[in-house]
Amino acid sequence: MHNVDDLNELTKQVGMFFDQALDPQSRDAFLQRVSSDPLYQQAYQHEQLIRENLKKLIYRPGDASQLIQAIKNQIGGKEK
Amino acid sequence: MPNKPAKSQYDPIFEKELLPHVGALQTFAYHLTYNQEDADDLVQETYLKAYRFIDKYEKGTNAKAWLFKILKNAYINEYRKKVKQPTKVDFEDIVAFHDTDDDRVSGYSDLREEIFLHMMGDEVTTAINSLPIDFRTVILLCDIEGFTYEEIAAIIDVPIGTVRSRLFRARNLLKEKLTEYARQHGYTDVRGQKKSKRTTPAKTKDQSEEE
Repeated sequence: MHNVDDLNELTKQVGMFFDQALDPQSRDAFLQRVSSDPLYQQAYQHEQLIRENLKKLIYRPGDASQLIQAIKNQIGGKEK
Repeated sequence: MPNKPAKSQYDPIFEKELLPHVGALQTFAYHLTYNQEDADDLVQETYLKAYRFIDKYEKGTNAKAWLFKILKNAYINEYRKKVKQPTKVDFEDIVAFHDTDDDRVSGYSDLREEIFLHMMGDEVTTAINSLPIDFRTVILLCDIEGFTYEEIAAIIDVPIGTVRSRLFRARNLLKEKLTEYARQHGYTDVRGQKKSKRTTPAKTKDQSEEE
């Protein structure tokens, strides 16, 4: 049974893991806990899915090749 | 203007280390300006500045963070002046006033996975773009571009505690907006409801025969 403090700690750890804010030792300990504790595993998978969806669904302007060419042209122009 | 060694010395760095980030910068610029043309102008301006000051860049270091910092500064210093937005006191000013340094960390633990089943992408973009700029910026830098707290702090010139604080509040706001959107489109969050309220119990064999 997990108490509220445990759940808060879990939420904090998961957030920090995906924010790359854990030091290497804490990161290893967290990953070990994920592989052994179903609650941690569930929280990890949930956070991973949400973040992947945010990245996948946000609008990204398409092909940047024209912009790259425009930048190169501008720099070329300034060089002359 | 700083002395710049021969052009040929910098071209490979520019080509191999800076130009590959055009796409990421374009996305960031688009979500700052809400406009493709302005975003492209901002990215071009960023690269012109980067090229002008390329002797300040150390080969092999964090080019992406350096470019994002230049873009963020260009946006604040030039783009916002150029568009001559009227001065207004709004939520962003209030947020900035109440910015605090703290170590709260948040994730998306209380956001339902299922809400994304109903979303095509516009909703996520609209929700992120509706955040105040300081909040939008940290979400874009952390959750979309994967920068660390330290990198974000350097890009936007605030202490790490402020980055954490803004992320905490930004994610809470974003969760509210996404959940509200899902609710408006028929998704119902049934967490916390008693089972009997959301499911019709199956009839027993006797009940069926009585009817």
